[in-house]
Amino acid sequence: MKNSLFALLFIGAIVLGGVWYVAREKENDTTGASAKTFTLVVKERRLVSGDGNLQVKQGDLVTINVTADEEEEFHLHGYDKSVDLFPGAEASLVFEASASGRYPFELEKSKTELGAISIEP
Amino acid sequence: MRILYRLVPVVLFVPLLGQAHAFGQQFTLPLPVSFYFIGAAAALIASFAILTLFNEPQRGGRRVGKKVIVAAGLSRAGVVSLRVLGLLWLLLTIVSGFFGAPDYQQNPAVYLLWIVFLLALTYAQALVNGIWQAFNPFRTLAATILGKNHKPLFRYPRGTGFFPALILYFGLISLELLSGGAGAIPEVVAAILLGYVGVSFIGSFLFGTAVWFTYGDLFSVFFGLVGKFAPIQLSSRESMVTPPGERLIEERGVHLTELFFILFALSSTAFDGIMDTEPWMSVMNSHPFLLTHPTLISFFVLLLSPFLFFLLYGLAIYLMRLVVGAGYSFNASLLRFAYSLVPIAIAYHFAHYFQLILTEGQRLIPQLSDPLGKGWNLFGTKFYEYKVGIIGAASGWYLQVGAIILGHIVATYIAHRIALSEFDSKRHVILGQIPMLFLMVCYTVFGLWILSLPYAIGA
Repeated sequence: MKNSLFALLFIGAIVLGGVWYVAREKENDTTGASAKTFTLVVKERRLVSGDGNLQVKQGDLVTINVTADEEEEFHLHGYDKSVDLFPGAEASLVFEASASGRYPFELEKSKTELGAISIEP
Repeated sequence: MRILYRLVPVVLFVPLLGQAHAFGQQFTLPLPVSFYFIGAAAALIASFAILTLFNEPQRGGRRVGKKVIVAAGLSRAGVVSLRVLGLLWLLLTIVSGFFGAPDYQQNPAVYLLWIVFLLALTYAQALVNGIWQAFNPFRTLAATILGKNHKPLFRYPRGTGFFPALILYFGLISLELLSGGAGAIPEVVAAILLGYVGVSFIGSFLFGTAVWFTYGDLFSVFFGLVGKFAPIQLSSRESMVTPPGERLIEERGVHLTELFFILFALSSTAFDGIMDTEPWMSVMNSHPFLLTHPTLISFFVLLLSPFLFFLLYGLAIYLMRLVVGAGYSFNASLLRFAYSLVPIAIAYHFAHYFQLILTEGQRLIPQLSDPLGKGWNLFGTKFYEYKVGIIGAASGWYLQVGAIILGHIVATYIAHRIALSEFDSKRHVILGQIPMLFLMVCYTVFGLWILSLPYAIGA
């Protein structure tokens, strides 16, 4: 029966190795970092202009320009970065997308979820 | 009074506005399609490999490998330390919940419950069974207050099975998913734990400590099932090292409510995964009634979810019995194979929640230095800076697919070993296992599919 246990572990190793091998190509696929700029306009706590689903690659220098019609705080989760918003004035959040993943952003004071930025590895 | 006021929404399942999507937010990216297909293919290949590799029937079910006795038993000191740790955990969570900062991010209570107790302890128990049994602060308290000579008032109606634990489990998941974030309010967490101490005491008072913590205490049932998978088994009599899941082969479910407990562990995790995705949102947006009653709809879907998983499981068992004509009842067959689903449930859980330990878990580092929000810096970690991306999206994908495939392999292997011990002929084992194999592949592919769904934008 010991053999069967080893066989089981062997199958497991091969399967996982296969998954890893295919997935590995994804991670090495870095086509060079670039600068990405997005512009969001918020009215009555809703996104009226700009995409709520931002897509960048890991390593990109990201700029998010936000304009709102009330005093607020624009907050990016995970990266924990914020910028204060004043009615009608554009504010910018600039950061290097060093960590991959999907990070939602919101209006902090009213807890209004606006969208998320997906940072592909 | 403020606490009572805040508890009302929990009871009524009315969402508290503005709290959703705050605590427990995941930063994972959906599984790429390539991962999903490779994972599904791997599950299929592994299943058939297991079927062809092991098909000699062994009546009575011999164990794989040898159990190694590592110690005469978990020493008294170890048990006592875990008990003290359990009580400290409970005390800290309740006290900081009631008297700490009202903002959950500045208060360890919410994190001590959901991250430490329900995630970290689950994975620890999946490795070493026996941790929970000693840690269990609710039992320590009830047993201490009642003393050894307490005579239970009633005989527990055995036919009820694990029904009380199942109801409490449903309540806990509702608090997590349907309360609109009430589970992330420190005072609510403290009040619920205090209430649970009371419930445990009353249950023990009425039916006896041993009975309550077998059938009524949701955590003992949950951690008990998880612990049956553990490769290291500690107990006061003998401690052993076995291949993972050996107990899931030797033992069998004792009541249908136990099967439903396992199915609910699976289905509630799956439901949590689906809830925030775009397909779910588009279904919810498709009809005005759905749109205006999201909590009600979610409640019923959550309630029905284990039955949907049961339909598939029941069908597999039914087909298996058609082929092999088992010598015992349909119910007994359902129970005999029930434990083979435990590894899949653990794998679902791990794939969905493990990364929260690395993300949300970090919040505890500064919180524990100042649990009551008084400006203390007990461990010098008050100004710990949160680190983003400890685990990258790609590593997260490997972990998720790896866990689900590994869970699938172990579950298939266990179901197969059970079949080997129950059926007489090679033909029966192979034919009888095909429906079971199909079931496991369905659960696994479904699990992977959920992880690959795009998230809904905003809420």
